[in-house]
Amino acid sequence: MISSLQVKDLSLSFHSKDKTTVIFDQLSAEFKAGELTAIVGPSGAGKSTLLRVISGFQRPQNGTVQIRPSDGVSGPSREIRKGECGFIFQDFGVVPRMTALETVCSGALGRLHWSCGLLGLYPRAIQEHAKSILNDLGLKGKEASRVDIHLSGGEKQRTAIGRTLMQEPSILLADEPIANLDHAAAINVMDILQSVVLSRGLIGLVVLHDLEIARQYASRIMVLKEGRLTEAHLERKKYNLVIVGGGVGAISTLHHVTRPLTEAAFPGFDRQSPFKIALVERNLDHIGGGTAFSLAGGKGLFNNPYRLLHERLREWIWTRRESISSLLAETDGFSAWLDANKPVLESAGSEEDLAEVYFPRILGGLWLRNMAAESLDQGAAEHRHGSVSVDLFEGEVDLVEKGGSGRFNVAPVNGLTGMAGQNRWSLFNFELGPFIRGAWQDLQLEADQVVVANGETERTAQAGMVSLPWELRDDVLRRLKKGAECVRVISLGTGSIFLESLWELQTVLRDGQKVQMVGLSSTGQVPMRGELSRHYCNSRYQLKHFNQILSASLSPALRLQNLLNWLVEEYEAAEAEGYSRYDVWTTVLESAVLNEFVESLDPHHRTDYDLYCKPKLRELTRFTNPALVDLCAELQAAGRVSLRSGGVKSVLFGDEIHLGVVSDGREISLSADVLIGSLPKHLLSVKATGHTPRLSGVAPAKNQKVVVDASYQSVDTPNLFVIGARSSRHNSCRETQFGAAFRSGEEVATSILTGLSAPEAGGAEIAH
Amino acid sequence: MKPFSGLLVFSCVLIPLAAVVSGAVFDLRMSDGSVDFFRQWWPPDTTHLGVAVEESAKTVAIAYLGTIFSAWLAVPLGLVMANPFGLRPWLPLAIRSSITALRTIPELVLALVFIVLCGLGAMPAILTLCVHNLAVMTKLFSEKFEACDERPSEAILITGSNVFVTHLFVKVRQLEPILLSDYFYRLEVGIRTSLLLGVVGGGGVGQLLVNHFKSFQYRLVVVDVAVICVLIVVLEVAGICIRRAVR
Repeated sequence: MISSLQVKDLSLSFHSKDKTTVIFDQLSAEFKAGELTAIVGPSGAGKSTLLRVISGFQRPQNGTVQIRPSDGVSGPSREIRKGECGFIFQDFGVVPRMTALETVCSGALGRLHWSCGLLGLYPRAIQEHAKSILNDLGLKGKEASRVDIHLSGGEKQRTAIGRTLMQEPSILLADEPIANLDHAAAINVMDILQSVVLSRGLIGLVVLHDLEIARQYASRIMVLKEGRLTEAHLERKKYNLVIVGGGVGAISTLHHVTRPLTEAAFPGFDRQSPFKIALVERNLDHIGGGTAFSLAGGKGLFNNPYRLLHERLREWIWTRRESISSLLAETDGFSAWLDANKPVLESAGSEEDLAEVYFPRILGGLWLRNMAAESLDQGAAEHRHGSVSVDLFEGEVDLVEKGGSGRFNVAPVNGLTGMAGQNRWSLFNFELGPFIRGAWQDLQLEADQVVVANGETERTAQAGMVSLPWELRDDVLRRLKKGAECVRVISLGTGSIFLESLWELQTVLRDGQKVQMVGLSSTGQVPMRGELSRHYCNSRYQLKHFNQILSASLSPALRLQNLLNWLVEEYEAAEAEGYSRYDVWTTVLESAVLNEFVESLDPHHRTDYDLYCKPKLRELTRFTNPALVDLCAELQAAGRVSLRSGGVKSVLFGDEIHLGVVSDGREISLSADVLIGSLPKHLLSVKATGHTPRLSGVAPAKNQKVVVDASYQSVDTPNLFVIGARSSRHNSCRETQFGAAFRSGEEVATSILTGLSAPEAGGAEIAH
Repeated sequence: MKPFSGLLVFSCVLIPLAAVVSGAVFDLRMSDGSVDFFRQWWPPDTTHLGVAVEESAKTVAIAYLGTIFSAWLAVPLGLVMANPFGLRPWLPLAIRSSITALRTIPELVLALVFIVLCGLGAMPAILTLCVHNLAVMTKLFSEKFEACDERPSEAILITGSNVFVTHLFVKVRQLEPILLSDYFYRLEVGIRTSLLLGVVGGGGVGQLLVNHFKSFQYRLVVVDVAVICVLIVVLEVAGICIRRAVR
């Protein structure tokens, strides 16, 4: 086995008539076995040429490529290198008209008699081996398919990888192996390449143009620029612990349970580093129900064994929350627990079948990782239920497809699993994506400012502004310490987690201080509300329904029903406590959510909806404000408003309209639809008093401008802020529609959103 | 430049000129006995149909034997001529110049030489076709090999496989339908050539036709011509079928 590959003083330049192009200028580097090195660089830098030089296709003008100590100064001859370099091409390099099986078999040609290739006849042993390789690569049943016409790009590339596996090289060179593939296929191929290189201890060099992919998969990254190869340093955040777990529910529960415990348990706990929770899981296949269902597109599946398992898991963790540190440290207890719960899984058929159904997107990554582990120590056949643990390497992020928030946010976060490798923890999922990206500080909150959020995760990710709930919590804490009477938080998209984290604030509250929170969970689109005082915390109250409502495993109709049950209960409680207006806010908020639900129902569920939900809905109407409903209808009829989550619903609160513009005093004109549509953008608090909302009579024609007199200077809404992020759509809306008028406003704050209740004091009255 | 304009100009100027130069303009008249001449062709005399079919089978056999050996030889020769191995250039160059030289010799001349050497019959026709087709197919194949995608060969070469064999089987694998179609074209040309070679004694239906013609048995000639037509069509269809099967 070759342990290192040395490139020394490589020089190569191409001469044309009038100029000389230097490709390599005294390029030297060393690559070690078991390392996957990504080579990145501008196009034309010679990345591919470097691989061709190493593989012997191209001869350098100077310098050596040394793969054995015995290689002479002139470098290895073609013969020496032959068979020792596997090469994966961007355009797959499969021989047209060959079958997949033949293609894989042809990898063995280096050690077979030449007539085998010529006649296309391979020994039976080779054919069997090729079949098993194809099987491992997920190409079972494709053996006889023609590579050029019957296989997709990803399958072609996997076949080509299969050929390389058959070749059993010591060096694996891959020249933009994923450039011609779509994202899913690319991830799949990179997964395979990585596991091949790492598990077989090959010298892996992969030319990539996607730095994100490189960060995710490579052990190290080298940049080829101006003829030299330099090491790129992967900047990785330090984390206290690794988050592992299935689904938001588990994590949020864990978060609030474990934080104090973890701080105590880990002396080196670094408050500045993001907080992570580890949930030890021994088998990648057991993924929490919530995640499973968001992976499966949230299709209404009942009695999902994974879901049941997940529920039990949470329960299990909950009962052991006192000893969470030992839970983190040892896997045995958990294994025992899993064993005890095996029947749940077994009752549902084979795991593989289930995985096909529930985790279609995972298979490529995780399943193959398992495969790699299996091929490492063949004979450990019980790897499915057995104790196979998968090494995770720095920079490796598993399973971020299709998760609620994880999809857009976890993927870019590298280094998250930095410590997983040494601990041999299996990582199966984390959905805490939005909270990892720590851009909270970018918002530069000042006390008593209003920050707006829009709860849609996708846009959140695009806008790149996501908040860390615990940082937010610290912020709230700061405000409370400064003596704020009431801190209000509207958290769209990150609701559940923040709500959970609120609990811990209780101990610092003085008499009379309050924290109010309204949120919408990004995953479940679940509304939630919490209120916290020294003596009272009603986020518990909300949590009572949390599981039911969040449970993505329920059918949409059932979710809706739960939602409505919860709302009615909430409203009644709120009414009893003397709240009125912010319930209406919730109603409006919910009407959007409900509409979405109802629209998404298939006919079967629609019947459920008619049977169970409609009466509830009628029950709800008694909480709504007729004037508001009229306005909504009017605006909708005029095509101004589309009630969908994230936008307009945040406009109307009770019998007030709070519209947002932050103005430096200049007059601005807005069309009603733009104004409403982009509300979460700019702060204004035009407070229409009384029961006739300011805009109710306007219903302007499309693009007609409505002049809003924004003659106030700032909005004094004490301690109200919202976490989440702005949407890029709204950003562009601002730029095109609002123009310069808002530029200065932006510095002041971001936007509006109010409505917990009318501020007891200090609400801005705007002169019209 | 509009499409075809060059071609149009080229044709308009050169057609009259060529007509005059070739003397065709002055020959635009039928001989007086032409009608009588054609009357002698009808009705066809089918008594010799069996012989004509037999002879055309012979023609096909001649054409096949005259192309198939060349085709097998032309594959490696064409590959060496295309030189994907980075050999020293003298070998490809030698092959190229010799096949070019061979191609310059008209088939008729070759046939006359071989008739002198081997006597009348199929043998000289086969040898003629072999020599000529070796030259033509080597050139055709080597052009295909040159234009062929190198990547698959590289991908197999990296496994450590034998260089010549790899290039050979990968490229042949890749180009099989194209090579076959080239071959069938040459086979068709071979049949036509062997018809002509019949004139100088190369055997087959060509020779039969010439014999009938020269002995004024025009009714038999009609049958010969019909058989030849059918033969060509059958061959074309067979070629299409085989190529479709190989695709």
